[in-house]
Amino acid sequence: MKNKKLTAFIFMVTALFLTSSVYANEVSAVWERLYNKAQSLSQKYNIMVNIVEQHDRDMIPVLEKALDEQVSAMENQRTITDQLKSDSFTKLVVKELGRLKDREAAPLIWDVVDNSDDPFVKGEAIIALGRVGAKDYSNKLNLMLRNINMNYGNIQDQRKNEIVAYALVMALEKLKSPDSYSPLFFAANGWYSRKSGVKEKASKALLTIVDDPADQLIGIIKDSKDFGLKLAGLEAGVISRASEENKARLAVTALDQGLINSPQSVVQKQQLKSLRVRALEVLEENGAKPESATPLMKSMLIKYQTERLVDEDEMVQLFETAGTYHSDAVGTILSEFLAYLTDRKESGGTVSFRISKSVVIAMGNNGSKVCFEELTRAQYSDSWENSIKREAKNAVQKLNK
Amino acid sequence: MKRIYPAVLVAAFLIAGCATAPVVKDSGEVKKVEPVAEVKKEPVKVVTTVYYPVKETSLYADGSVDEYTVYTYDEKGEKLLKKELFDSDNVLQEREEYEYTGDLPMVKKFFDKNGDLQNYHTYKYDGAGNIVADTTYNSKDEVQSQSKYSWDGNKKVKWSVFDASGALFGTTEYIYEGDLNTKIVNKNSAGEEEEFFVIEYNESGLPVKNTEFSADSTVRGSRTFEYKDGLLVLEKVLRSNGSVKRKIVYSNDEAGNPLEIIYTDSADNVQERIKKEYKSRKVVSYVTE
Repeated sequence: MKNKKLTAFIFMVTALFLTSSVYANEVSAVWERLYNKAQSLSQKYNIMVNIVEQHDRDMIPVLEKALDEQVSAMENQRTITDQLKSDSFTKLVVKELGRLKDREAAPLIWDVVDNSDDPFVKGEAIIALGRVGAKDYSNKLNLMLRNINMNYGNIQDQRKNEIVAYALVMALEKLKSPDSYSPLFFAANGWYSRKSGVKEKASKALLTIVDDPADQLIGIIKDSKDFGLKLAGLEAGVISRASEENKARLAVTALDQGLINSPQSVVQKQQLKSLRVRALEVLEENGAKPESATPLMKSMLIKYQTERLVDEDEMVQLFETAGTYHSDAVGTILSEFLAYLTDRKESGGTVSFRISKSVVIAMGNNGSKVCFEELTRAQYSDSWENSIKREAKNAVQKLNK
Repeated sequence: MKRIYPAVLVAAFLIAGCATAPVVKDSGEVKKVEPVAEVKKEPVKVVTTVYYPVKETSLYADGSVDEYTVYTYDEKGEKLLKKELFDSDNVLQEREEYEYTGDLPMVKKFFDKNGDLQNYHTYKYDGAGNIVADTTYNSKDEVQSQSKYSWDGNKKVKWSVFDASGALFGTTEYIYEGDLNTKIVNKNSAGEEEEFFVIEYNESGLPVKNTEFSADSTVRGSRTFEYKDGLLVLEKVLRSNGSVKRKIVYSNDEAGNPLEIIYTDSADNVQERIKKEYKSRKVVSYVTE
């Protein structure tokens, strides 16, 4: 009994380490020979199941040969039953070549991608290309995903396209080509159903495919016609591993896009506002304070003064962001805006209390001496409410520290 | 505390007990043996540590995970019950399940990621617990192929493969010198030699080279094995001209378990890294010296 127990244990251990065992050689030779003798597809499939179970690199030649035969036979007319058998067989072989990371099999695997009409076979082959590290094929895969992202095909093909798209995302995630960032980004924000998992998988891939996707995202934010995608580009940058400086660059680009584009609908107006607010939030939270944001902030203030194109929420966010900038340039545009408000107040015009309070607090936080004159004026102006005067006094005290 | 390898276990169990017998002189005279007081030796308690793999992770050259396999055992860590293959997103891809009768695995089932049975093996054993038959079935319980094994004691001497109809595909014969398997011959169904393998060993009885020959004794390729402190550290797969086709580098822990296995191509580009994790259990036995 004890002997049996021991044998069982040895059997298990041997099975577990079979792939690296010296005795795999005669095993692979036997299965390879048996495969070569098999006539029918059913026989070949039965033997291939045993070959795949070995999970042994010594089996690669027979796997490649089997796939080569399959590719050659793809154009032949067959019955549906034969086609199903053939597809199962191809998937079995392609998957194993992928698991074995057989880079030399990439051209054969690509032939399957190119010639198969079945989305599951095509998908399995695409995944295998990723697993074998077929970087030479990443551009072809990028193009495939880009075309599916555009969704120009028949609506009845959408499910098939989702299967292929998911496989493409998996492969491109493994190949890690920087050029794949754009098609993956549009897949993450594309037409795909939630059930397909494409968007979720692509979003995850974006985080790992390149360390710093700032350049790709700046292109997307600038070139995309869809304002929602511009915001998605900014969000992708925020959660990426991009440097603080590059995240700030992205925010400046997004803020610029939010200002230079004109909305054609209520939806677009809201999208552009969201883009501006989010860009300002990023600049507020970010340690890098690019000077290139200053003229954009000034542009927002002018738009508010002239056309009220910027609403109160955005203005409050603008001042919260400006307060984190400690430059004279930002201090100057804040002072100019407070001067505009004080002039308006003193001339009997209405001004937003919330905006007025925000700009005064921002000037104190900015800390530039250029703010001193307008803050002092507000502090002693009879037109301002006492609460604004108190905030102005506090801000002046901050400047004096 | 001792650590134990399977080979040592085999050796230990191969040691047979001694029987007493009267001493017979060459002349045929039987010498009367005077009764003496028997000295009984107390059995010595030996605690050994048995390691078993619990996780195997396949990684790309850059260290990112491709897939991993989790091994599940019974409470004592003696019987492998389940192997589950997960992708890098922790999604189950395949599952193997083992069913036992007593201590021997009798059935191994393969399931796909949807939990659908793909195929299964049934195993038969001889009285010593050696496997004598391994039959593969598809999910419709139809035989796909069968392997039969013959043993001489604990030495496997023959492996025969049959197709679904029961027709012989081919046989493999294992030839020994002493306890060492030095030659393996593959034959077709007509009994003609197809290829053979010659295995060379070092003085410690560890295989150092396995050369594959065609039936006309032409070298097809070979595999060499290098050891450090008795543990395999490098395996080279060589082409027939002796050039390296690929290498397999092993890093072992203090107990001799391979912790990392790196597969490289001929240019030393890493194709795959395998990382293994183990658990251990104590086995107590008593040995009478």
